[in-house]
Amino acid sequence: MGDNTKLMSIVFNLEDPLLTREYPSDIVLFQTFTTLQTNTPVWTPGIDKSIFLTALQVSAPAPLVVQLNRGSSAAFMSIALTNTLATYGMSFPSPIEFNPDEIISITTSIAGTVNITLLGYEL
Amino acid sequence: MKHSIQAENNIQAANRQTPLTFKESSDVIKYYSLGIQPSKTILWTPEPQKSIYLTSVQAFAPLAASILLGDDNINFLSLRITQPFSTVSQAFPLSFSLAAGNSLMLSTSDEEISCNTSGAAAAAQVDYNGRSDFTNVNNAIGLSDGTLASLSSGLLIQTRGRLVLEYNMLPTQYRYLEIEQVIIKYYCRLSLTLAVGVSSMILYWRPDNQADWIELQQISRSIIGSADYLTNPIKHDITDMVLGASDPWEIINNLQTSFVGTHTGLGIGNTVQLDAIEIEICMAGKNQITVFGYEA
Repeated sequence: MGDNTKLMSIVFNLEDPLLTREYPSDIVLFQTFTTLQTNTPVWTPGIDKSIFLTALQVSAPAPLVVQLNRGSSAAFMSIALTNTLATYGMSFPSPIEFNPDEIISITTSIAGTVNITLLGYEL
Repeated sequence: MKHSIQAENNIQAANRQTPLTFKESSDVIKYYSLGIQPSKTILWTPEPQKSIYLTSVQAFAPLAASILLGDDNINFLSLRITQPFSTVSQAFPLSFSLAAGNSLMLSTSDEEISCNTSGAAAAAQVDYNGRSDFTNVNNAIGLSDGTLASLSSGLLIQTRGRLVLEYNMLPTQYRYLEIEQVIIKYYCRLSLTLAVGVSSMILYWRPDNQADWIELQQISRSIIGSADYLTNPIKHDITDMVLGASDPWEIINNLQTSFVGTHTGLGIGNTVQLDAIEIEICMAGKNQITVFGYEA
């Protein structure tokens, strides 16, 4: 925390204010796929806006691997769903900031039903 | 990130530290696909004078493994995956900061190695110097569970022939697996009851059905007796040749093996037999790791 703590006297000059409250996640995207997906866009931000991802969840009735990409094809996360782990969720206390206009797309390892939920906001 | 600034009444007076700040969002996303890493490999080096602030880590391992995160000096986080194809994650509500200038590093330990043994999917005979004398060709296929010893064999009593075996052994999740070793096991027998010439078994493989056959070994006999490799097969390690290819899994998907039998003289009771040619592939997982954070 040391480096994050700033003196009060310069609070209004800081690029990053002292006390902040996270912006609420006002975007919830839910999609279901049943066929093999290759770099299918799941979240396209508004023009000149960036995605801030605060949580995600995926589930599938049969084992498969879900790969999340930034942009059209650069993988940034792979999630394996198995018989013993058919639902997987992760939340990000520090929102994941994508580049302006960068989309999130999905690739699956095999054909099969998969549900995905993305939570976050755009700025 | 939208900020709501809370001004305190005594902000100028109280020269104390603030109880809570959320610095910023995580604008660094780093993704790695890494196999066994016995020594530390660098994932993320901060810019000069800056520190890495780690906010989340996530890993998926195709096979059991321990994934260790650390910096130049110590390890500080271990993600242990016990079930194949499992995913774990860890998020830090307060970012985990590394010392200024230190890189984030990764190593693995206790990696599971998984081995699959496959019999052939199909066996066929092609002519060898104009002859195709093997009988019971389909008996040379063998079984993946090692029960081939109870099977009958592809049998050569007449002059010569060549058996060609094809396989269907690409693991479904091969993209997430790394080949550690490939061994071909030839279960075959040569028996002479009459010494009337030379009888031979020649062992081959090739990476695909267009390539030239690569001869691995020749076993010949001209005196009465037998060479029996049914219980203890002849093993050839082709790992280096497979891994030398630009796409090793392409070779696993397409490779063929071949067995040539020849008798230069024909005697009643002289036989060459092929029971099976199995392929054993040992694999390690290619772990997929994502780290999220920022530098400051």
